[in-house]
Amino acid sequence: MERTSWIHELTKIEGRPVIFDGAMGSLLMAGGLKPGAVPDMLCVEKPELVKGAHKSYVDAGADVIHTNTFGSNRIRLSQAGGSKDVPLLNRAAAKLAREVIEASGESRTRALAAGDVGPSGKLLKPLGELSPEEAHEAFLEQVQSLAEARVDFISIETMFSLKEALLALEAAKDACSLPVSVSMTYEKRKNGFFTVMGETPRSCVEALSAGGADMVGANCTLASADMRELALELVAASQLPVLIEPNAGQPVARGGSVEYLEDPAFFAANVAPLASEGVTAMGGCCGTTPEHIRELRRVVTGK
Amino acid sequence: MDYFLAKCSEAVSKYDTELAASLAEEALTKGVDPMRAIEEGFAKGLEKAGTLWEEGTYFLPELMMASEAMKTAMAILKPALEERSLKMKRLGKVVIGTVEGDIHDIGKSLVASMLSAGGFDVVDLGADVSVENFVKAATREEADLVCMSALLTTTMPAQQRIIQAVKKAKPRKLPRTMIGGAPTSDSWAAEIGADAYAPDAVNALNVAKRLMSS
Ligand code: B12
Ligand SMILES: [Zn+2]
Repeated sequence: MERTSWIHELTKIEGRPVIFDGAMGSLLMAGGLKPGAVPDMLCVEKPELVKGAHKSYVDAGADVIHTNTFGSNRIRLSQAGGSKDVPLLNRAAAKLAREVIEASGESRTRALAAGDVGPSGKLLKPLGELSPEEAHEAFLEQVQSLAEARVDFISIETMFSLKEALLALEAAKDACSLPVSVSMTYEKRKNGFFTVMGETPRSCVEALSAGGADMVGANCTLASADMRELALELVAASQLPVLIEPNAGQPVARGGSVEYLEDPAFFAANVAPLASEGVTAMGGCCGTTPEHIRELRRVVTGK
Repeated sequence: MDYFLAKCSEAVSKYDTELAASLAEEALTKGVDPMRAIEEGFAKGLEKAGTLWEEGTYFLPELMMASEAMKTAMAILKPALEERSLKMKRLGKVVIGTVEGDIHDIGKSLVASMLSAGGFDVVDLGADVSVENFVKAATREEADLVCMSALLTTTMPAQQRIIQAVKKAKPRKLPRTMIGGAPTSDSWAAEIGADAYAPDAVNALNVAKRLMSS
């Protein structure tokens, strides 16, 4: 059964799941990003490289592309020694995504820009030093800047703490009136799926729904087969549209670099069937490439 | 007495720092042998928490808070031990950090916390620590054990560089080395010449203890 949703209306897509993009990091590294450097800084340092990565996903058939702002909150940027001007960086990133979308063809079928919001990278009190106020402020600042630069909706992702995810959601709702998607990352343990903090998929879905999320989901950490299992749990627990973005397998070291071993056909064969199980939107996380997304799009369109 | 020790254990396994602190005070006023309070009380609780974690009942927060409770109790009992010149059994000095280019520090901090709660003196260098700073700290602290965490496949090779650099620096006391982090393994440890690997914080404590007594 397919669920139609706000995101179907926004993308004007009917009768198939909405396709999200895949990983940015590897494309940026191929273009010269050094391991350990902050990928987000490329939005001002090498904008053409970022645009090239966006374009390759749009060309592959993605209906939604994420801004290159996963770490563009002031807490992570200050730790990483990145830009001090957080609003500027976020606006620049949104502008790059918009430019690629607007150059991509007639407006009816254009892709959407999702303003990407990742975790702060610090633990909240009492486990860590971060206060809820500081976290809220950081997310508020980031979302405000993304919204000002006209992203279509906000996509909070890879959250490993429900508490932090709720703070980001609340800040996003305070900062703008755009829809907000929230995706957590779960590990598979012998007794089920849990976040690093021990929260279950059901408890996350319930709390995020109550917090006003417009879409819930899971991304990263899990390979496509495990993610299928988790997706069914999320769909069963949720009234909201569900977003799934698995990794292309588990990372393995090959010489000095990292490889993820699931090829596009294997990945798409695991992910595409989730559409008929009630998953609304699907894309890729670590290790996925434009080829994975092209194949996923091909399989879900049945061509 | 046994009841009191069981309460000490439970305060830690149920991560009740306040209770652990007041039980430690009580041990002092009641004249309970502080060594016994630690070894047969609080430390048992930390073991219990570790077991619950391995079983999948506890998660990161519970384990972190249990080791906090343990450390709090130890800090209160320490002066009494020293007064009786019963030196607290310190297992050795550890220098720990996440390698350069890698900012994942949650797992590393948990390992640091377990090692410290388990009786090691721990110097935590933080995350994204350069090879040079590992070597400097190992030399300065006369470390018995250098622990390196790497969560990224791309930063694992730094563990090898650190091990080689520490050996090359020829500190007065040559420390043992232990590695960890999700993408690392026993075979990687062997390949780069690390003395030990542990898959998680609970095992890290056991492995570190074994290393020190071998
Ligand atoms: C939290 C997290 C983050 C947070 C880190 C916050 C912080 N302050 O640490 C943030 C959001 C900042 C982050 C960033 C990135 N991350 Co990250 N992250 C994670 C996540 C979800 C959880 C890690 C964690 O903390 N686990 C909980 C702790 C308790 O477990 P642990 O770290 O494994 O530690 C245990 C053991 O490994 C062991 N251990 C650890 N260290 C040591 C040391 C010794 C000596 C010993 C004996 C044992 C030991 O004991 C610990 C306790 O039991 C993992 C996925 C996952 N679920 O594992 C990805 C993951 C580690 N990240 C990944 C990636 C790719 C990244 C980024 C590159 C993403 C990006 N595009 O920006 C950046 C890298 C930034 C950088 N330069 O370091 C990949 C790594 C892939 C790989 N193997 O190369 C993972 C595996 C996700 C995935 N693709 O599946 N990440
Ligand atoms: Zn990922």
